[in-house]
Amino acid sequence: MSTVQSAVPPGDSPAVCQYCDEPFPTEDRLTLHKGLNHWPDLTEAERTDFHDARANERDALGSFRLRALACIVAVYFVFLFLYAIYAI
Amino acid sequence: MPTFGIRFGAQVLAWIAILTVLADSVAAANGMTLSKQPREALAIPRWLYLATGGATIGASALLASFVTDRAFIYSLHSRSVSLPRMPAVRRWIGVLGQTLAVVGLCLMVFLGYTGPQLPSASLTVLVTFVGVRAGLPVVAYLVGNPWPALNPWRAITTILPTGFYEYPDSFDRWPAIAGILTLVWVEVIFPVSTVPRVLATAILGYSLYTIAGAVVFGSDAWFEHADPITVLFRFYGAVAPIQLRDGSVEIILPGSDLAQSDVVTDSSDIAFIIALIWELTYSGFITTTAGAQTITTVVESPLSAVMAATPLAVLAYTTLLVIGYVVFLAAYWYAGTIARRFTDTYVTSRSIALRLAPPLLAIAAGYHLAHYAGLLVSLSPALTMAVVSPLSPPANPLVLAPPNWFTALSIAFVLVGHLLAIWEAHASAYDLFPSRLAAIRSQYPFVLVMIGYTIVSLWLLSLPGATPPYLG
Ligand SMILES: [Zn+2]
Repeated sequence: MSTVQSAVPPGDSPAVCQYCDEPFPTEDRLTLHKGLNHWPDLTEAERTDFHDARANERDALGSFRLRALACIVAVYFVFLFLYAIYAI
Repeated sequence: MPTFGIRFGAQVLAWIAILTVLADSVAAANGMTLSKQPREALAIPRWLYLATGGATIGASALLASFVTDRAFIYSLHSRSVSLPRMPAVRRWIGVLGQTLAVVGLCLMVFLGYTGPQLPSASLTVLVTFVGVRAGLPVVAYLVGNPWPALNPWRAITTILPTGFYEYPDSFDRWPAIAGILTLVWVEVIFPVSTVPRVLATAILGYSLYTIAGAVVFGSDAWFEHADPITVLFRFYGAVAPIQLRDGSVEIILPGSDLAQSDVVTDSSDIAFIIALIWELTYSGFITTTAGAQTITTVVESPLSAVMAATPLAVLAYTTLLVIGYVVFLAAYWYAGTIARRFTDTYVTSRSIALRLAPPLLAIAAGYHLAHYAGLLVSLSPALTMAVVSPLSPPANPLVLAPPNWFTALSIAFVLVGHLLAIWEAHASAYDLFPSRLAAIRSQYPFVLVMIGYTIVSLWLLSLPGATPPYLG
């Protein structure tokens, strides 16, 4: 992770990780980062926060997956028709 | 269920159509460079063939985003088997390989001047183009980087006094980028692949350049940063399943090192990787009818009143090489900027671009295999014969014609390279962003760039071949 550089735009108030000083635009990202990178150092409350953030992320991923699936199906059928019309 | 029957039938139809395209659209790459024979017409409209390729990449990116389990991705990427160290064996392989390479280098230069001037019987031409240009990179990305055990110039510098100046840090790997583009330029402009004498002169010139560089800046620094061939093999080797880590040999899943952060450490590394992709696209383009037409158009334009045809053609080839490279580089760089905006992150666009660059090596490897597999197969008997009897090669060596389906493989190689790149970029993004949705979103612009690269290279594969005009 040492090669990753961050830049905070002036006027922003980032959520900064107290373990490695990395800035994040939202509390949620910071919570996820702490859970992924500093798990052994976390307090019980921070671990609970992490689990909550994980659950939120899982829901968001679920709805993303549905939309992605819809896209794939759409692409599949578009190409099915294109091939039916233009191929051979 | 009747609907199932219709769908199944349509699917079979679609697959037959795709396979027909694969089988019919491309014919064998032939000759020493990438000049090709005229090819048959497509069975489907070309735009549909290109769109299918692009959609394959886009759909795979969406599919990859279904894999959201960090632990699973991590376990795939950290899977490795360590081989016994055997330092003595490795040292002897290195000594043997480098000795052979130095002898080979001297023989190549000598025979280039004194041997037969027929390219398909010349050891110089065959070893350079079939061996080093086509064969060794294939070994590098499919097996493991063989160059450290071969590099003849490095072997020569071990007996010379080296390191008079410190290699400037600010140079990074930029000299290697200038070097690789110059090599490609020389390959296009000069008849190095057809006249052994010219090639021998080029090899001699390159040897002087790289040995001088190593003497001035020290062998380690020079070959790590500035020697284009060594840097090329290092990058291709990053795709390979066999990796050297801290002196031990490890077998990993092919490409899984591309998600590591230590493959690309500087902007110049990105520029080099893009140069690899552009180099193959460029030499593919100028050996097609479309490429020949572009050059002819320029040469026959009003500009011809100002300049003679050949210098104007050289200028056109050079301009195309430089502008195309800048466009490819800018597209990738811009994707990094867009990715930063999309993901709403504080990570700099430079860091994002650095982290997502190594997967592009899989694309470069796929292009390389697509372009050179035919050449490798058709000329490997000639290479073998020239190596076995370098002083009296057969006047009329055996040249194999790869079967037609072989070229269908080209399309498969391009697609497989992109799919591997998509997957590794996915893994890299997961490593970079704590939020998995941000990681997925950071991929969009890069996937678009990859779709662009795919369409361009599939388009090149579908064009009839031609000899680049106005050159020797
Ligand atoms: Zn931290």
